[in-house]
Amino acid sequence: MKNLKKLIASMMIFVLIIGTFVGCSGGNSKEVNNDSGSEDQVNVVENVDPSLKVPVIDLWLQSQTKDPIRYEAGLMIADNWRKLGFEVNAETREWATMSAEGMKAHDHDVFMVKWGGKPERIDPYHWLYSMHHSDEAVEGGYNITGYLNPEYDKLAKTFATSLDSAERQAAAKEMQVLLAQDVPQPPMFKLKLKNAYNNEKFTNVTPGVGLGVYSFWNFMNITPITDDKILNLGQTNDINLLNPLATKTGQDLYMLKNIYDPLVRLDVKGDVVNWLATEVNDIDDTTIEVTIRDDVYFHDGEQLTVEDVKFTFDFAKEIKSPTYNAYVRNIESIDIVGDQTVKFNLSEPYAPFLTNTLSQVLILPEHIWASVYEEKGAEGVLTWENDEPVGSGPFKFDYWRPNEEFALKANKDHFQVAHIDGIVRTPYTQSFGIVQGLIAGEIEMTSYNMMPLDLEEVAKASHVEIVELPDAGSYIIHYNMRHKPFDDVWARRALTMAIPRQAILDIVFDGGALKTFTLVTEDNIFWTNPDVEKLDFDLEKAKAELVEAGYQWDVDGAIYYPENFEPTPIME
Amino acid sequence: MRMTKYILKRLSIVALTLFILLTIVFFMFRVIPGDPVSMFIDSGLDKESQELMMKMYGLDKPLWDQYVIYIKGVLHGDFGNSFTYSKPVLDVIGERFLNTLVLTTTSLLIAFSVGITAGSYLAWHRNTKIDLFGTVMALIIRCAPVFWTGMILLTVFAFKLDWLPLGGMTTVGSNFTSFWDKIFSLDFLKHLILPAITSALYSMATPTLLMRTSMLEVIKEDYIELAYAKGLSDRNVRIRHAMRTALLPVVTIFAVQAGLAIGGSVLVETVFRWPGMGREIVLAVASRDYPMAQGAFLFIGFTTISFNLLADVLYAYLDPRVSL
Repeated sequence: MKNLKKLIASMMIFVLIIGTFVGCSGGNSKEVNNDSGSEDQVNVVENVDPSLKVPVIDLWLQSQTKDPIRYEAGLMIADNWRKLGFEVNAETREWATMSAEGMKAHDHDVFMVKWGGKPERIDPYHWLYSMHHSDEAVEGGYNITGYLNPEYDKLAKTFATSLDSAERQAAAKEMQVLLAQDVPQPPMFKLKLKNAYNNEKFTNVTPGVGLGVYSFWNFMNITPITDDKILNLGQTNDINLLNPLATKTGQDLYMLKNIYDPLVRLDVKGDVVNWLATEVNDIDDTTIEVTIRDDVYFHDGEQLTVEDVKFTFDFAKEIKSPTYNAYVRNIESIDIVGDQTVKFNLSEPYAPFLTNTLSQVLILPEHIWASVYEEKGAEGVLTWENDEPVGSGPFKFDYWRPNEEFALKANKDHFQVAHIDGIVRTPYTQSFGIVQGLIAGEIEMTSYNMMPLDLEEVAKASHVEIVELPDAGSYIIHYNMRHKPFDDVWARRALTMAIPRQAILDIVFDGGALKTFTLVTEDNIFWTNPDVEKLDFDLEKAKAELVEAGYQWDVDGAIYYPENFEPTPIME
Repeated sequence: MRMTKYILKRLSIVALTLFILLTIVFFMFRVIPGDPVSMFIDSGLDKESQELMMKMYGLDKPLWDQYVIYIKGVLHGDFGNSFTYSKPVLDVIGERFLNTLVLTTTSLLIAFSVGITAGSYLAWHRNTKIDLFGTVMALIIRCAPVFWTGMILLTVFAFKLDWLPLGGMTTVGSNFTSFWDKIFSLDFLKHLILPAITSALYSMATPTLLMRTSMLEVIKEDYIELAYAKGLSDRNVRIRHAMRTALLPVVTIFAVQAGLAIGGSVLVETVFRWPGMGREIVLAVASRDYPMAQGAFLFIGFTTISFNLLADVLYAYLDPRVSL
């Protein structure tokens, strides 16, 4: 009896092992069939020279926990690239590693980045100039792919320096045409932002471009319905540093923008509106005159004057603030020309001066920062924690218990007063907590972008409402034109056409995103060019272009270069 | 006298160990790929700004110079400034450590009081179904990942039953005048229950099983038989005679566990949004905040090593049969 049991058990194990084995090999052979058999036998060579083999592509992925979207999408892309005969090695990397080796050292083959559509990127200077001009194709530069195109550079120069917006617009449109056919680092998707808030306690939610409900205008406009006038905000991370000259994260800056005021602000659509400034005049290409309000006071009671304005810009330049460097380096000097007026003299024309400089630099109180400088020196100012920031903005700093809570209270003396009495911001480490906190009523709003599963979860709670708006940022797949096979435009085009965009949208995003073929997304009506070439998913066309370019395949379906191959970096 | 000499010798080994740890941690963080600046490129740090930021952190200097500067600082009690917070590392560790300490002390107290009682009970009922069940349960709970236990407890008691809060140390928006004021409030206690139980469950198995084994040894001793012969009750023998002797190894393991628990609270703190050391370490490593990570690792190394030393000394002190 005992022996019989043993026999049965060992037989079952045997069957299981055989089963797995057969299952595996069966799967493999099927895949091989898929690779080679589906196509008609064009350019299949029997004894191809092994040295002509197209090198393996290393595709770096974000880990599944960090960003399930990029992980899943990456695997789907890799599968389809394999169908073209490319050998793809898809592996996950930690973001710190990927950013240092890819974003900075440009030593990647290919990886994906989710670029934020911040309001200051509505003027597409970042997308079109920084990310593709040859000047930026150096270590640490934004031209991550290494796109070098003299024709493009010329257009980019016009775009960056002309003050004639029609001329800039024409250049921008032409640049988008070039990028769409050369696909150096094509955009794939743009997200639809889905933020949630408690509609039983607040109304008049005003999401802004790129930031959703984290927009400054939402904090100004959101209106309490009940007596509880404090807005409890849940985010995944805590803020880190309240020194506007030294912080590096957007989370810090967006809170600081409530505490401090810039000269102009970008409205919910990303257009410039006057804020501290009452008037901004372009005297010529390199001279801009700004007049400011006379009724603005810092939270400690001192008046905000043109001296503070001049001081802030000079100071950021002098102490070499990394945060403000990009904004202030084109400023040669600033003159005080009247009681309420300053004149900015630029070293060269810089078209996005209003959107990228005046809207981003927060005006600091000279009486505080000058004495910190005296006491600690330039280096000391940059490492100063500024624990209790004194600004002039519509919210005052209240308290901050790191990793617990950060609180602001409304500044009732500001020239524009918010409807809420304050903001309490809680960091939740994981999205799971945010969603549950929202349902339980612990928080009333979050700018965390709700994923399909979260939406299902909050659908049960009637007090949670979702606001939706398109994001101006996109998921970009960064090829490296310094590495094979991405140095050849035909390979890049074919690989781009092998990205199964619709399938990724349906399966991974569950409809929460849109396809995009230009970096300037279509809601950005003034700058976008809807008539660019759209290399959507089309494996047959991809293969046809590869055949045209002379690529060949061996009997197993692996792809090879033709004899004496010279890559074509960009389209003629 | 011998004890003093022994402790002095051990202390010098501690110092050497810490120095080696410090050196390894220093170079390890700089050798692994990634740096504190490049991960913010996409949020708008251009080429020049990256260089300025590296300079601001002192990372533009040669590695050896950085090391010398760091060691000199440490010898003067200066562990540098956190890149993320721009505050002295020791200040940040100090704040977070208190929070961690409250959590680990509570959970260790629960774990050891329950563990010791359960262990002696199981030993007394050895080879019964209760013993088998208890031992297996202890092992299962010990093997369950602590974040998993935490999330299960959270789902049941916070989401479904709504008895306890979702996480954090206090209710959002509450304000306390001092640390002590905070930790003696009812609100804080409510927030403490779930994370403390989660980590107590995890550390409970060690004292339970150790106590059980130790009791089994003791039960065989002659003096237990003598106690019975004197006509003492079963309960009396168990508590007054057997447990007291059996407690020795458990007391020393307490010191070792305390050292480990302080470093091991990473997962519990993350699940329950507890603003402690563990969570800080995760953040520091992920954002390559070198001074913060170095300081935190060194601090954990220091506590683990000193508690181990304490355990050794304690053992010698408590048990006259052991001499150093």
